[in-house]
Amino acid sequence: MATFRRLWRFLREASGEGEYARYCAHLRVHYPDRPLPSEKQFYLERLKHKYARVSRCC
Amino acid sequence: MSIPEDGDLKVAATAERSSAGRWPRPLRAAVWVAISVAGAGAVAAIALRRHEPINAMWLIVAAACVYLIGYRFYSRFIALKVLELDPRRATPAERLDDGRDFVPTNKWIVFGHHFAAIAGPGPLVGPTLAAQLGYLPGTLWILVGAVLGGCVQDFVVLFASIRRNGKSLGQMAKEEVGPVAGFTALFAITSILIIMLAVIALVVTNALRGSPWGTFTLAMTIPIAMLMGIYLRFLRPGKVLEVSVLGFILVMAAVIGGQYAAQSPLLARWFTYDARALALMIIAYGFAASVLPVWLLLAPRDYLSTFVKLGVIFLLALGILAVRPTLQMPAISRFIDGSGPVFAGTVFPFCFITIACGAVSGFHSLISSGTTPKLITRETQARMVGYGSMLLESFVAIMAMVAACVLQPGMYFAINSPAGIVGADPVGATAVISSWGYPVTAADMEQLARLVGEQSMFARTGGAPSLAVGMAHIFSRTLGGGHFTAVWYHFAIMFEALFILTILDAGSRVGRFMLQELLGHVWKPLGRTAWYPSVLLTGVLIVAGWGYFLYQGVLDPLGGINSLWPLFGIANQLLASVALCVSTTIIIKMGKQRYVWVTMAPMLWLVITTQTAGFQKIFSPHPRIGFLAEAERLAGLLAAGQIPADRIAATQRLIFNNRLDAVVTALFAGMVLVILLDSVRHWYLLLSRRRAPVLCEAEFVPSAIAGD
Repeated sequence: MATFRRLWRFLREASGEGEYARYCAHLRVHYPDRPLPSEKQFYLERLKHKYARVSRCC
Repeated sequence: MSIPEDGDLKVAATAERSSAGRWPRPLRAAVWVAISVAGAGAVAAIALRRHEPINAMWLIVAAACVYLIGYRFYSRFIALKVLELDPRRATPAERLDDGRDFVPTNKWIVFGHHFAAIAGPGPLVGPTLAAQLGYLPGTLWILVGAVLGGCVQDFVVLFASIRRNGKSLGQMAKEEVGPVAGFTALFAITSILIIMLAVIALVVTNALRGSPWGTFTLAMTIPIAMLMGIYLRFLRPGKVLEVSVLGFILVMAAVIGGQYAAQSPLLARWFTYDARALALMIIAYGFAASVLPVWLLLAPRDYLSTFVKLGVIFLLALGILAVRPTLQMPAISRFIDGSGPVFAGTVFPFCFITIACGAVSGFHSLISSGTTPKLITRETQARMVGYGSMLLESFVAIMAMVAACVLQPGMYFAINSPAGIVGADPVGATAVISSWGYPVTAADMEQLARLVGEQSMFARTGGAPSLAVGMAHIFSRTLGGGHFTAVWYHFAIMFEALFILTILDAGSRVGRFMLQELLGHVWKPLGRTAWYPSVLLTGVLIVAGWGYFLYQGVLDPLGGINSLWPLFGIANQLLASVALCVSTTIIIKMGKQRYVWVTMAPMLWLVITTQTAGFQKIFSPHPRIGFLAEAERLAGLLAAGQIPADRIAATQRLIFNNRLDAVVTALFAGMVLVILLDSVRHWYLLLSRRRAPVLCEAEFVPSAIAGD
């Protein structure tokens, strides 16, 4: 059961679910004056960026 | 700023070795000797046993041993001696950490991302087509080519990009070799992208033609993905995993529901299309999908198809281990003489061209110099991520070879031979195939069609259907038995078609950006990515580009994959030569001339095979092989009045397309020669010390991240 939970956590991390929290933490440390983006805004930004370059192979 | 000395690195390596938990040296040596012996034995068994069918486990064991040895010894040698990966040097992820793009990430997650990005249909289709030669030639190249070529390319390019703050291959080519190489590389990448998209679209088209079940399932994935997209955007942004589980359940429902669509006469009519109609639909879809917002269709489908892809690869490995099937295909078939129906040409050079991505793939160098280098926490992890993930990809290719070879050879050829060679009539086709020495009857094929829920399994070229039959055979023996073979077959088709559609969408989008960049050099406004007219124009051009080759392939009486796959293979291997050229230049500039053979040897081999293949495809006098020879043959028939009136226009189109393919092949060959010559000139100047080696690496900054 514990391994299943670890696997689930790994998959969540790998699919990028922690990205927003990590970015906000980074902003708070380095740019405390900047406003934090909303989760929706951040998600859309990331998607646009991800597919602007070669991301999937033959 | 302190540059690490050779001695320091050795101390670090020894400290690593003597840390607690490692076995004593003699025991470790004994384990490696045992693995080497097992590997050598398995390879010998594969190569030498000719008269009885062998078990797939011999291939699996041989592959596992070869990969273990390659990873433990060769990649380590490259890491320590050639590249001198420095664990104390801060990577761009650490130095430029911006919380989004440059983020030091857990090495397993980086591995997962990188592997998911490089895993495509190539290692599934290539080996399936190469099985025409028997399992031996393809398997040997998958193993040797990966360990000595593909893995090296991925590893070295990844390392080079890490040292250059994540620069792309094109940028590295421009900076390390020269602007000519840089521009040619960009042009080559864009054109190779178009051929790749056309080929994978053809694979899907050939798999779905005349298949109401398959078409229904794939059509359903579009609204399912859109549903997921809306859910992710409006309801639960960022909750990728849970929405993917939801999407997977819906897609499985579509796979199972497809059989009712196929059985109902009304629905079956709505979902049964011939190849031409399907091609047009896929082209329209490709254009529409690439201009729709990313969050609506592409992103959710990408998440879903990535999970399904990885899951199926894992399941297939388990299935092969559980079932341990016997390979029915012989080690070497009669078609090593070059007369094969699936693709024409002898083992050298065409086996190497056909396997392509399963051993060496130029496209991976774009991924290795994409987002992955920006996530690497420590340089030493590049070994596992770069070398290791290509090994895993090579293993996928081995599994595809196994799945293709569990079929009776007669059945394999009946599925993969185009009507243009064996004829469209079932009885006639099976007679021809049986006359080749691979017995099969029309009744066998009818039974197969019934078993997998299709109308007919004849001339289902492109590699996907026969792979799906092999996978269904393995899966149904693991779980569910014969009743579920049809569901497993369509599941396998869906799994491949799903991520192919994603690549078509993502690839068209990226192609648009690349074309905008290229055209921006000619007329500035076209380079503005947000300018709508430019978006529309480049979008249409890219989709028209791959759409044209797709449509041409669909009209080809030889099935399309016959001529397009070698074109793709040549293009892909040429891009790999470019990547290895750049890597060689970097290794020379690093002062490691005595190790330059590590990248130069695979590069020379690739240049030799692809230029030979290119030459033969253009100039060979055999119409089956040479594009120009085929055009001449058809022109001759046309001039002699031997073409019926209703086929004249089609024949003229075929002549034009063959000539076009010859020109495209010549273009690829020419581009690589340009880069090669520019590089050789550069190497000469460097090695004769007429030019000082100036590396464009980022400055050394000691890493502050502790541990591994």
